[in-house]
Amino acid sequence: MSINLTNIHKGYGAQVVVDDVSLEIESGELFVLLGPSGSGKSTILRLIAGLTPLDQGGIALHGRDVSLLPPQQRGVGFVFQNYSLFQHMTAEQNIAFGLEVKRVPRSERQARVTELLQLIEMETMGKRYPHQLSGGQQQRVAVARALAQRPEVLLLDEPFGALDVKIRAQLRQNLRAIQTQLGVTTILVTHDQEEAFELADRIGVIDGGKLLEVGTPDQLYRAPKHRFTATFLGNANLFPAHRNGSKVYLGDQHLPAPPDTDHLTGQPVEMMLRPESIEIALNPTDLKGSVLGQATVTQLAFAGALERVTVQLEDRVLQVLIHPAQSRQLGIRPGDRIWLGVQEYHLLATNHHSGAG
Amino acid sequence: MRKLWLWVILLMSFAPTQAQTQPITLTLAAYAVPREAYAKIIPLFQADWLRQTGQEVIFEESYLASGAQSRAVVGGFAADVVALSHEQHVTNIVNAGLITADWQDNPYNGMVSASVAVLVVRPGNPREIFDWADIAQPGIEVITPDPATSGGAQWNVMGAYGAAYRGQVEGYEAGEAGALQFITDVFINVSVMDADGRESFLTFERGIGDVAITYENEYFAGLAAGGEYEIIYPSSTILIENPVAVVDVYVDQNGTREVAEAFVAFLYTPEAQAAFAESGFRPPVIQIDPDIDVTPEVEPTPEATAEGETQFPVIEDLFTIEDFGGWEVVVPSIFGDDGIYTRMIAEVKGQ
Amino acid sequence: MRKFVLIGLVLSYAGVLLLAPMLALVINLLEYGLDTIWAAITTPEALLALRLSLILALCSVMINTVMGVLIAWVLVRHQFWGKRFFNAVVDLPFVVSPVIVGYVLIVLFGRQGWLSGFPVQLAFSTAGMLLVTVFVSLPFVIREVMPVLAAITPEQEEAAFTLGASHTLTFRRILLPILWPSILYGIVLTLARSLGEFGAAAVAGGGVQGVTETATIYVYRALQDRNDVGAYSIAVILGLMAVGILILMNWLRPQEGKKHVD
Repeated sequence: MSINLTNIHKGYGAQVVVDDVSLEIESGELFVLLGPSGSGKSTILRLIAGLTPLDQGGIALHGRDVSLLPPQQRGVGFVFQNYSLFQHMTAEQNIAFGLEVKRVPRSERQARVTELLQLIEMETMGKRYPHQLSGGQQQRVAVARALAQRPEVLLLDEPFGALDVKIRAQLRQNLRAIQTQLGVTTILVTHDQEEAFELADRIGVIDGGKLLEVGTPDQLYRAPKHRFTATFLGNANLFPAHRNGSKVYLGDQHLPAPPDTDHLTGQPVEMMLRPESIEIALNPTDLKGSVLGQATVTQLAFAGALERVTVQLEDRVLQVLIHPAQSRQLGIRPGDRIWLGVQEYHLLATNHHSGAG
Repeated sequence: MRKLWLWVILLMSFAPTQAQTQPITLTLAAYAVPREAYAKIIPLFQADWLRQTGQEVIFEESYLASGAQSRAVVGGFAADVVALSHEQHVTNIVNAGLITADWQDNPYNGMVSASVAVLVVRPGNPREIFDWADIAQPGIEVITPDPATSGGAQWNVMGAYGAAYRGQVEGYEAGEAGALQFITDVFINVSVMDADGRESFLTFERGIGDVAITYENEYFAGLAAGGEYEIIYPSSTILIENPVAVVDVYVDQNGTREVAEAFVAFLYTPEAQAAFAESGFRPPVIQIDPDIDVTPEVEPTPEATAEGETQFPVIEDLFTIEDFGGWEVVVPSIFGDDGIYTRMIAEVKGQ
Repeated sequence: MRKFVLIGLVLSYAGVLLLAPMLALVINLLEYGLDTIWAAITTPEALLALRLSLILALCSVMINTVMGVLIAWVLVRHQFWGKRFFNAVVDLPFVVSPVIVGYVLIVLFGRQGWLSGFPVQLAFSTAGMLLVTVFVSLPFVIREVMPVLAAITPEQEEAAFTLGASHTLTFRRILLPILWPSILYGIVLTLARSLGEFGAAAVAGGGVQGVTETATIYVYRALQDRNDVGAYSIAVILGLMAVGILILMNWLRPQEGKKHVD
């Protein structure tokens, strides 16, 4: 186990910032802590790095208890949201700083700096000062600086937060490539679910200081255990339901219960329908999945690759995503009556977590 | 950072360093005016002492306003000899317990130089000032230092006050009431009151005012420096006397009693008195006092004053502070918080 | 057009106010001839006064730089009871008249002072003059450094910590370069203030020629003695030092400052 958090806790006065978080991260894994701002995710990172003192609990890195160690002795590479490059040092000097501190011989230091500059594809820019570099370049230097001492753990706090969308996508790929190549155990903090999906081996969803659930991107998207996860990781249509026998009842409709949901029998549950898993047809016989019922189209909106259709099914409003081609084929317009079907749906327990969303 | 250090070293290195072989150091705390005189006297004394004892004397000289100097010595400035403008400033040091011997126990009553309060006017005397009465005329701009800070200024006030008190100022009755009226009229005309006597006279020298109340020696010093103005001797004025004293506690502390006493004695020699005369000071007046030994340790020196006879005219009605009971009476009654001058100036300034 | 009028107005105002006195002083002085000036400068008293001024100013700069950064650090980075009061007290030297400062020293450490038993002779000594000079020039480094220090986000230091740098190393390698321009500026002001100090040093030292007489006291006394050459010469030297300091700082500053331009 590379990173092991045991019941860590941090509060400022009455305000709890990190609430009893336990987490195990495998060697070489890229783990993403995902949550809204103020959820405590950055604090967890700072607790691991030793920049914020721990109130309770334990932190072990590669089996070494570091809970009480100062940041200097934790062997952690840290990339800050604003990169925090040393403004009075060149890119090279920034990268070499940690090696200098560790009294690495000059020649070795030079070799390592060259190697890292190659890794971040900035071989020719070593002599530049941070203010002579673009945001993306600064970010890469910050990553290289954090990696210079070959840390056991790399921590990145919103590393793409200050960059525009285009550069972000490219840098993500670079980072993922570097991380895979070096195999360094990494925790990345973000509030961007798209980023989390693209980078993460596993994601931990955090809200209100609590680690709600941990899973692969796919698990969390398709089968979240928490309403918060369901909504934070993309759009979700959520409706109160109940499971009985082999059926799930959603108002008058009933659908076959999804597998492995026996434990939810008899308790209040919510049904989650991802907009893209709902299908629209003019006749119920054209639906491939289970029939939800007949609904009225209230709104059509262009949403890039897909078209967002808002429909009203009895007293419920649903968001549906369909291909524009299909939309054209159906020729639907607001006010039209259409049939809704669903191919994939998920049940989660109600009242499990009522934290701020 | 390295550059700064380099710079520090550079600056330190050009500073002059003197090999300090100092057999004995004598510290003189004086008021500012007689500095030129001491500049001549000190080398003479050093040569004299070297000849007599084979010892070199290093002088540390401080020249400040008399009152400030007195306070500094009381405050701990360990001067061996004090030369001040005002007897009262020595008395302060006596009261602080630093001068224990009777410093006035010599034929000159402890006074080393003298002068008189005079009027100095612009070349050609355009405002026609011939005596005290003329400076009280409306429209005359008078310059005099502030008695609150300057010991010398108190001499000026007493010169004017005394002349009127003695019935020597035309248009003012003799006695306290007339004297008070006279100084009131004079101070209504005062435009600038500097902190000390020299500063006040320099203000006049720079072209401010019609007439300066100052001391005869100040006029001569200014004249020697190329100043252009005329001196007016009032028919009646005060004799200014400047005390000098050995500070007993400090000389014993510093082990300098012998040389300090020798220096003070040297100030009465013809050479020293000639230097004072050159700077415009009158020689000190021998006190007729039955208590004093008829054979003084230091003989009065007619040679020293010989030159001065012509330089220093005789004042028709010369009086001293003793005529008003001495400074111990005058300071509280005239310059004290409830003194005649203090109340008068508050009223004049209030107008 | 209006722009040029404004520029012209500002330049002539600043020129008259800042340069004219200096120029007048130099022209006034040059009338005496170089030989006379040289003789006036090289009298032992003048040289000793200049030396004392320099020594006092440099010592005061060293003490106030180290202590100033330290005090700024404590005021910005630490919370403690009475901080607001302490922060206000730092400006005391700006509001207290220097003569009072000198007088207080005498009252405290003089013969009859409360602290007259103090082992070092402070009243009427160069040590006392240094103390008052340090006092009057205390706030400059502090006030220059504080806002810069307060504006530094903790991440720079934290980054250094995670890279293994100790607190001292972080201060030296990371914070000091950021603070350096403000420290330099504080040093200029401290140096200028210390060189120019008159009242406090005069009262605290007693103004003994060649011993506790600084260049400014020398100028004052020379004027009183009608030694105008001496007064102007030393005044011009003090002025040239001030100009020299400014040039030196401008020369030092871009090298450090350039890297901070964003």
